[in-house]
Amino acid sequence: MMKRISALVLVLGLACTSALGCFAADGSDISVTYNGSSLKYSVNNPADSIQDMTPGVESTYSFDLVNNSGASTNFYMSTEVLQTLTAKDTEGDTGYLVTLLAGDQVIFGNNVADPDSATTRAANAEEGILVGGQGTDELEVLNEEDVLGTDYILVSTVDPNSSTTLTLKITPNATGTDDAYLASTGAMQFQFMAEEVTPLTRTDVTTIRNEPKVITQTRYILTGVQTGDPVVVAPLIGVLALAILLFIIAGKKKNKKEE
Amino acid sequence: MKRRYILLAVTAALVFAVAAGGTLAAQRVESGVLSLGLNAANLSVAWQGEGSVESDSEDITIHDVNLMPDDTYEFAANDVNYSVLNSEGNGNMDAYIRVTVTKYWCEDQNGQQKDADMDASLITLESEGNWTTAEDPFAGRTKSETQVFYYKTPLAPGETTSRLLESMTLSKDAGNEYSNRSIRLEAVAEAVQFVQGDNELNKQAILSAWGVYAELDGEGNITSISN
Repeated sequence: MMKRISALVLVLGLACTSALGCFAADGSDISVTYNGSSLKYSVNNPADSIQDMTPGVESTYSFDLVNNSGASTNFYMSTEVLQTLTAKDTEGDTGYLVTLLAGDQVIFGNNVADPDSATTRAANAEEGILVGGQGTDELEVLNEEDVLGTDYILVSTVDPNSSTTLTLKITPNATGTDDAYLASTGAMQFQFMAEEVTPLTRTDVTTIRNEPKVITQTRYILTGVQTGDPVVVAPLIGVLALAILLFIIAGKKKNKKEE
Repeated sequence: MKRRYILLAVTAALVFAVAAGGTLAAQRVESGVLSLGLNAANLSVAWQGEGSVESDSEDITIHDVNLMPDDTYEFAANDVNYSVLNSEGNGNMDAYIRVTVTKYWCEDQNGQQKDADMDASLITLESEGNWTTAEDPFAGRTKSETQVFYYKTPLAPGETTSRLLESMTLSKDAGNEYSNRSIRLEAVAEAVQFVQGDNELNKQAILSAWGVYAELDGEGNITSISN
């Protein structure tokens, strides 16, 4: 009995060790760094808020996504508006122009207007999407599933030992954000996830009018679970084999005793 | 024997569950949650009189001045020593300033008993040079109790305007019924955000808040105001 318990304890101990190694340390900084095993924040700017938001004026907040690992890495971000700027009167009636850029690539913004919900989402001549409007939850509309949502979205694939800048831009509507919003406050929260990928690059050289033309395609393959992956499973199979051996030895000893 | 095989099966299931979960977890890592506050700017203006006292409203009171019809009284520096402050403690925005002055005739000498039936348009105020007024398309055809003055230069927090009034003129049309009466002036200051380098936004803000059209120079200073 004691040997069976020992085998089970051994396996459980391994499971706990594997799980603990995967969580990153908590932080509240704005440079997000992946080092191959963990994802951490570091401080570039001590400000933890967007200050002096003004009607018609763009406010920005940026995150440096840094990949210090040896593999290309997908960075994901989840966003949640906890509280829109709270007006002194009870009804919300302003909107916000919101853009999310990774480098110069638009992650969120410049989409086509939805005629069925013009008050919550509309295209704009600039790159942002107008979120909110009269009688809505204003900036909290960003949390809706058909807007930005609160689940993880892929924001950038960063090459090894490289970085990119993720920029959030928010502009309170110039006419809707009136005196009721003076000195008002709100809150948002973000969370990041990193996942290594394997780039597959294929280069084709063709000839057009006797001039060589090089076409390069790069695809990213997620390094996920695959059937028969020997590298990860091997140590655990070893543990299983040891457990089986212990059971067999214990069983034989018990049979001898009974005899 | 049966128990042994059951135990073996449970162990195998546990090991492979760990293998699958551990493999997934090892490829994907999460960060902690980052919180970000949102803070709107604040705008606050106040009167600044003698002793730099901030107040919500101010009465401009001048004693021992006798005006005759067609007289102009030049305010001395210590007569009207009030200016508008863009409050640094309460506000953190650059702002355009305007002051609306309402004129009253009063029955008493102390300016306490207002007489709304008397013609306040007989009193004309002139502002100091850094202020301007809107072009009035109905000038001479209406009798207005108010005059509105716009400070030409936007103020940063902590800055003050120059003093508001330079002179006051009593119309030659003021008859004997205006004798032995006092004039009361009530001034209210307002502010609108100013954004450096974005005159289109500044014009829109002035129009939205004050209902007037502003012409601005390259630095954002007001050059003219029209209704």
